[in-house]
This record gives sequence, C-alpha cells and structure tokens, in this order.
Amino acid sequence: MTPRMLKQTLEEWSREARVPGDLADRALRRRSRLRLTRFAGAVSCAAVVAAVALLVPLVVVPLFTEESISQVGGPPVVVPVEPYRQATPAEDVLTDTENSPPETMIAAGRVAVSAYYTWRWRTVAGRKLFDRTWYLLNPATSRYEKTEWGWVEVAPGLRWAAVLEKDLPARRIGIFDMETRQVRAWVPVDHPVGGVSWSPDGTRLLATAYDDYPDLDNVSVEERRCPARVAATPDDPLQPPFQMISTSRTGFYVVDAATGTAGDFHAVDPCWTENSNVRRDFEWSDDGTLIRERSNVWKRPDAFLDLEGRPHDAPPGYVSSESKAGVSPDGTLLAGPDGMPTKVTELSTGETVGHQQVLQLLAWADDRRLVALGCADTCGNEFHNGLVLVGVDGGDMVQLSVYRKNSQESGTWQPVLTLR
Amino acid sequence: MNAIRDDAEERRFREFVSARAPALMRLAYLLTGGDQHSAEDLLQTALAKVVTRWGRLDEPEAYVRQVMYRQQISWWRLAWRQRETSVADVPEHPAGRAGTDEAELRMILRRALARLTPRQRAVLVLRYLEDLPEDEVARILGCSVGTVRSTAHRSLARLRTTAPELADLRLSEVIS
Repeated sequence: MTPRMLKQTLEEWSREARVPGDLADRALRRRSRLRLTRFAGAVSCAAVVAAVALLVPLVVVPLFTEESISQVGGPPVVVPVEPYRQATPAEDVLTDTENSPPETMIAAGRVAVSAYYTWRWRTVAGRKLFDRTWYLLNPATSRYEKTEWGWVEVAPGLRWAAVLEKDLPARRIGIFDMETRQVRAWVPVDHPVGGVSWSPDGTRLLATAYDDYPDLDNVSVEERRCPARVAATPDDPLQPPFQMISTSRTGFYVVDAATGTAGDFHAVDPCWTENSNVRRDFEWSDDGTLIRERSNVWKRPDAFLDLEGRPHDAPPGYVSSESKAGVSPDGTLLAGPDGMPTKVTELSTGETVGHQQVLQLLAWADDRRLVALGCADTCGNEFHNGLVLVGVDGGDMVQLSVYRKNSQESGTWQPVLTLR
Repeated sequence: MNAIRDDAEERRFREFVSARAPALMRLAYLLTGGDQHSAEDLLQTALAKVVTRWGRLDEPEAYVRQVMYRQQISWWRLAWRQRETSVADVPEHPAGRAGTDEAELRMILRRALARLTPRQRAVLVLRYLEDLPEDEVARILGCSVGTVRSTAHRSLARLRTTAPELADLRLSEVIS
C-alpha cells in the first residue's frame, strides 16, 4: 500500500461525481434570497432596538410580587439563591429506558439530566441555523416538560435555571424558578447574549454575548481574518495572519443571580484563541474564580481570563482534561481521553486504574462511578448510543436511557447533566 | 464593492462555474464521502458565498475549495456540545489475505475512506490527493500544523482498523 494507491483511489472515486448543469443558477438564486431577507432582518432589528429603548426605563426586574429581601449595602435580593451544597439524593439511580427522548427523570449519584434538547437545521434567509427545542426537568413531578426557550441552563441543585428567549442572541436573561415554573426575574443586557452558564456555587451567571445567531452553520457566518500572533505552545509554529474566524462572539457579562443585575460588559477579542467553533460560550473555571475558554484543538490546553476579561494563567492545580468528566470529586482520578475503550488514570502517578467499554466519560456520579455515553450491543455503530452508569473498573454498567438509533440525526435528543 | 453588480460580472461568474465545476464537484464528492446529493449542496453553498464576494476575490476557486473544506471539517460538533470522538468501527471485511489484487484493495480503501469522519477525510484529500504540505493544509483548514499531523495519523489508523487489508498502510511515514 502506497501513497500512490491512496491518490489513485481518491481520483478514481471522485470521477463518479456527476456535474449538475444549473450550479451557477442555483448559486445566484440563493444570493437573491439572502439579500432580500437581510434587508428584512435589518428592519426588524431596528424595530427591536426601538422597542427595547422604550422598555428599558420600565424594566421591573422581579416579576414576583413577593417582597424583596434587604441586603446590607447593596441592591435588594430578588431571587433567593443560595450557594450550592451537595445533598444525598433520595434515590441513587433513576432511569428511563422506555422512552426516547426520556419522559421521566434520569439521574445517577450526584448528577441528573436536568434538561435536554432536540435539534434540527432550519434555513432562514439562505443561512442554516442549528435550532434547539428544549425540554426541562420538573423536579416536582420528576418529568421533563417541553419549553419555548431558546436556551436553558439549570443551576447546581436543580432549584433555578437561566433561560433565554428565542431567537438568539437575546436581550434579557430570565432566572427561572424550577418549582413554580415561573421566571422570577429578568436581567436586561445591552449586548445580546446567546449562552449562559452557572457558577459552580450556583450564585452567578456567565453570559456570553454574540452579535449574530450563535448557532449558524459555519458556512453561513461572515468570516473574519485574524492578525498574526505568536505561537501558543513551544511546538506550535507562528500563527499566520490568514487565520480565519467564523464566530460572532463579542464578550461576556457576569450576572449576580440574587440581585438580578448584570455587571459591566467585557469585550473579548475573538482572535484571542485558535478555535474554529461558531458558538464559543465561555465557561467558569472549576473553582469559579476565572473564566475559561475550552480548547477545541487537540492537545491544546484551555485558556483563561479573569472576571474583567484579561488573559490569565491557568488556576493552580489546573488539569487539562480530554473528557467532559475531568477530575473525580475527591481529586484523585482523571477521566479520559474519550474514545472506546475509555480509561481512568490516577492523577498523581498517571497509572491506569481502569478501562471502560464506553464512548465518552461525561460526569462523575461519585468517586468510583461515571455517567458515560455507551453504545448498544457490541458497539458496531458508535452513533447508536445512550447514557449509562459505569464503574471506574469498567464493571457494574447500568443503562440509564434508551440507546438513540442515530445520535447524529436531526430530531435526536442531547442531554445536559447537572449536579443535583 | 462586492457581489455581482451587472450582466458582465454575472457572465464572468457563469464562465467560472462552467469551467471549474467538474473539478470542484469531484472535490465535493470526495469530501461528502461519495454522496452526490450532499456534494451538490456543499458546492452550491460555497458558490453562493462566492457570489457575495465576487469582484474582491483574487482566486475564486481557492476560496470555493476552502469554504468546502471548512464546511465539511466543522470542528464544532453537534453532539454533546463538545469535541468529536473517533471510535473504531467493527471491520466489515475479513482479515487481510495474501493475493488481494490492487483493484480490490482500492475498492476496500474507498469503502474505508467513506467511513472516516468528514474532518479525517478532508485532511487525507489535502495531503494525499492534492499533495499539499502540512502547513498549507493547516492554513486551508484554519487549524494548527499539530492538529493536521494528529488528524492524519488518526485517520490512517482508522483506515487500518476499518479494513485490516490495509494494515500495511504507513503513509504518514512515507510523505512528510
């Protein structure tokens, strides 16, 4: 087997393509639709701006009639959030292996599926949008309920959620009461936001701002060129000036949930890191003191900012993880990298302590068990997958959800795990 | 200004498409793993982008190619809001055997290529069909040389896993 054979195979295969005769017409027709709708979009944006300008003086943050709680030396508390404290769940494992998407609560150990979304591509004005329909857990009934929100993020403890209205990016953030199923407060923002993330203690929100829909297909995004910059790692060459980015991300806010107030907007240069995602939501560092941009480049560590948006060194003890689960709750084990079989290593020595026949390690249920993406049967099809609970040693596997027939297919559901 | 403004520019665009469509369609076909419908959609989308920039592109064909590559290798993954994980599939074919002729091997190789992820296939097309060096591949895909190198390595490994007949495929060591 030689490079010549690979080249010949590719050439031979490519000759099977048929060339349609109307390609130029199709491209020109798409351009026309794009221009028309962009004009319509500009009009509607102006209308929204006008409406917001009228509304701003009238914004009454709390929607509840309950009396606000005084806070010494600060604005009144409108949402009674409390720092997250882990409690022992009444039932260790909850499964729904009957319904896909799930109808009843899925949980294992300290984590639960707090929400999930189904998705489909939608074409608007010649641009492809990744459109989510969100389903949110109702802790009172332990069932999932369909919502109309454009984005949902449940806080640790499952008591509160942050919600954004369709269509993203949104000009206000809702603090949603999971028990009453009402928005307790709206937090207006000058720069529209497309994603929100709760701090590890569940008292603050990190809202990522975008100036366009954050879930565009990357071909539908206006690309921008980045200036040349220095190498990010010793073995990485100088990044040339032709690096292109295709994100509309502009910066972030840190929101105090209790008072329902957004701090200052902090602009962040989109060329700051090499990342080809269109949606590039910021995350909290594990200790909640810094902001993290998760790397999507293999072997490239995550990057950090302080809460003012200035680049910052990684926090002490930071461990670069190649799985979502990362470090175990007791700090001794590291999950990943992903890819069957996965493995868990001892953090201090790097020694492997167990392999698991799963695709991805998603979250630690406790110090010895993980919620993972497992696949059906003998794993002949990696996209025929679902949630499982698996021990560090690979044993005691428990199926938590139905195995989706094709996780890449439009309409399929994608879970979001949260500490409960 | 950009975009097509008059009949003369539209004519030049049509001439460009007419002349280059066969080559571009072949590339789209490979990138989509031999899916004619997806390939047409991919090329049509890229050409629509060219229309909006017509007049300010020095090399429209290079631009079309870059758009198609980037569309197909989109690092942003749909599932789990995070990174892609490549997982070896169960081989469809029996273990390698002596006497498999070259035509048959090419068919096996084609099937294995079709089962790669779009990102893996794009890197192999750029490296082994278009014979581009790693830094040029990185420029087109908008990623680092290290990423190109690791992706090529994993792609070849996956080809070998998918089709044991290709076990002696050691292209990454042959071309540098």
